[in-house]
Amino acid sequence: MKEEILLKQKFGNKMPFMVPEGYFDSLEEKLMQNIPEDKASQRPLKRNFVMRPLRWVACFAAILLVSGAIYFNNIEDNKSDFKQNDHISENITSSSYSDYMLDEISDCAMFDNDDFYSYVTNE
Amino acid sequence: MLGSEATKRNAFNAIVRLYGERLYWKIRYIVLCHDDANDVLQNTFLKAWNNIGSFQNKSKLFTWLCSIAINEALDYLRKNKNGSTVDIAEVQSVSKTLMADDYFDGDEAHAMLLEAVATLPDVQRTVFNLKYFDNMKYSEISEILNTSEGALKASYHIAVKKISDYFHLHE
Repeated sequence: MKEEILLKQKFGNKMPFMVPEGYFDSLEEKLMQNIPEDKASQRPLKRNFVMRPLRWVACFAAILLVSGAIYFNNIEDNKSDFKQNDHISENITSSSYSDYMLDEISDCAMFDNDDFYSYVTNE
Repeated sequence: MLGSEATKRNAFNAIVRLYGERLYWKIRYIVLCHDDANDVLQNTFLKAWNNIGSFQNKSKLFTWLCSIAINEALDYLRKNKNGSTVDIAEVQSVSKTLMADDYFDGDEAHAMLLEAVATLPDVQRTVFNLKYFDNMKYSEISEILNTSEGALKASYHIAVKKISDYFHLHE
């Protein structure tokens, strides 16, 4: 490529940079200083064995608590369901009553075919 | 290889010794300033240490480290740049900054070249640095940037063209 050749002729391809004296000599040490210790290896092994049964007990207690709460909640719900059912039965009777009334009214208001023909011929 | 903590640390120490300097130059091409390159290099090895478990032998270790270093360097530039587009005033100050830098060993023409490179988008800039200054093969760059060789060749040609145009415009 023509442009690339011209650039290389003009500038070469050496990077015109320097570093502070001795920078690379101490680079490895400086870089490793910033690498953190592995947390997994810092954790004492003994604490793990002590904590493990405690965790299980805590989990079991939490499960018991939650299932107990659900059980007692269900009993309360059943009681309130009975009360609600009474309410619903009242609603059913009142709604069926209102439906019956509506049918009666609509029957009275409806024309039969004879009425319809007599109405059309009179017009 | 990386069983116990001591073994893991010793192995990583060897990696730092082996690749520290090479990675420094890869980063310096992009960020230009020594202090910035030093910071990015620290971040690169910290990231490599934290993710060493995810390294798969599909690529070479140096290729993996190189891609971390380049991404860290480009991220560093993005964070230190105000907008997403290239600011002309910011780019024009590159040559002035370089000329005032104690660790810059070039003349005004070299500073202009680096200024022109700084105007390029991330991929073109990276390909240009790796190919022009580092003589890296397209196949190697392809592994680092995870881009096809054809796309890299196109990027390099566009980058060279843009740099030549930059000189025609400013001379």
